[in-house]
Amino acid sequence: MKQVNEAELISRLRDPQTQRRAFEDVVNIYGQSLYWQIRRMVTYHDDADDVLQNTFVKAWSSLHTFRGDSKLQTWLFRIAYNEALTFLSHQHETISIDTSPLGDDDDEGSTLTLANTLQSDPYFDGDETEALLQAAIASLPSKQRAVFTMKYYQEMKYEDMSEITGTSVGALKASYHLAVKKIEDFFHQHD
Amino acid sequence: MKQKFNIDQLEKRNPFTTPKGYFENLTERVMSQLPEEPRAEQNQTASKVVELKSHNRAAKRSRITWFLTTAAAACIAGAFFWVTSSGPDIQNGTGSQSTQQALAQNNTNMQEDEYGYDEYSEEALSYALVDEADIYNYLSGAGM
Repeated sequence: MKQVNEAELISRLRDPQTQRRAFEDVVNIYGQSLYWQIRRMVTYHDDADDVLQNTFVKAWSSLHTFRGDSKLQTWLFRIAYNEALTFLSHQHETISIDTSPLGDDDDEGSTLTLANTLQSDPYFDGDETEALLQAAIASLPSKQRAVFTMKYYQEMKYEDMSEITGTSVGALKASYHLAVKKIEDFFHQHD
Repeated sequence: MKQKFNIDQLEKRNPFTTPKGYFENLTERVMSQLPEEPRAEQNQTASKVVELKSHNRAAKRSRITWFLTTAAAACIAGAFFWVTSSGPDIQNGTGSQSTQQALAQNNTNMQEDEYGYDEYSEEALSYALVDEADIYNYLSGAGM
């Protein structure tokens, strides 16, 4: 990520004369890291792109609510986190409606389908184990999925995660360890 | 013996990729989708909320007026039914017994009226083609 003079950037964001240009810099600076945070939660590129667009639209329209209590990056990550959760909950509702008569066996089937689909996805270049890991992550409840990806891939501090998710550090640690256990169990079942 | 799976043994790498040039065009694409002013969208939403609230207030006032008008009409209709249904007995009665019966009936009606609901008000409401469900619907806004 580029070096940012955050105070100067925030000051430009608050000035109506310079805020649009400053926001362009925000997209330029934080766009990639936000994309990867979202992508690890929602798995597919097209979905990640949609959620990222929504994140920036929301950030732009609620710029006046940013008071500077937290870092600009934390504020943006929080919006992205909430947008991704909203997306996942809609997706879950749609899948539940489509598969509700089939029950748990179908969940198992859809998880394995995800692993297979990923391997034929042009924007996935992992091997079978990595596809299974993504399927295992996708099988977690959405908040736990977010906690796992932030810790495992982004190696984010629990304190920063707490600011983004609004969850206590203790609860996040417990959630991460539970997620790891579930993923390991998933691998044992599919070994 | 099969070794226990450990997530730390996995190579931690990002298996995802993006379309070519995705990040190069990202800023331009995002900026083209934003409204000119950051609060323009919010102001629109705010004005919609205000419009909605004022609409709700007007609708509430209209519902109260409608309810009071209906209640007044129901009272008048109730009185009308009472007069027309008990009138002939009084008019046709030749002795003091029928008059007393009519008065007794009237007293019973008055006692029932104290509880705010009797057969006459029920008839009146039926006459006005209004039932309780309609009133609840109007008051709760379900009919809007």
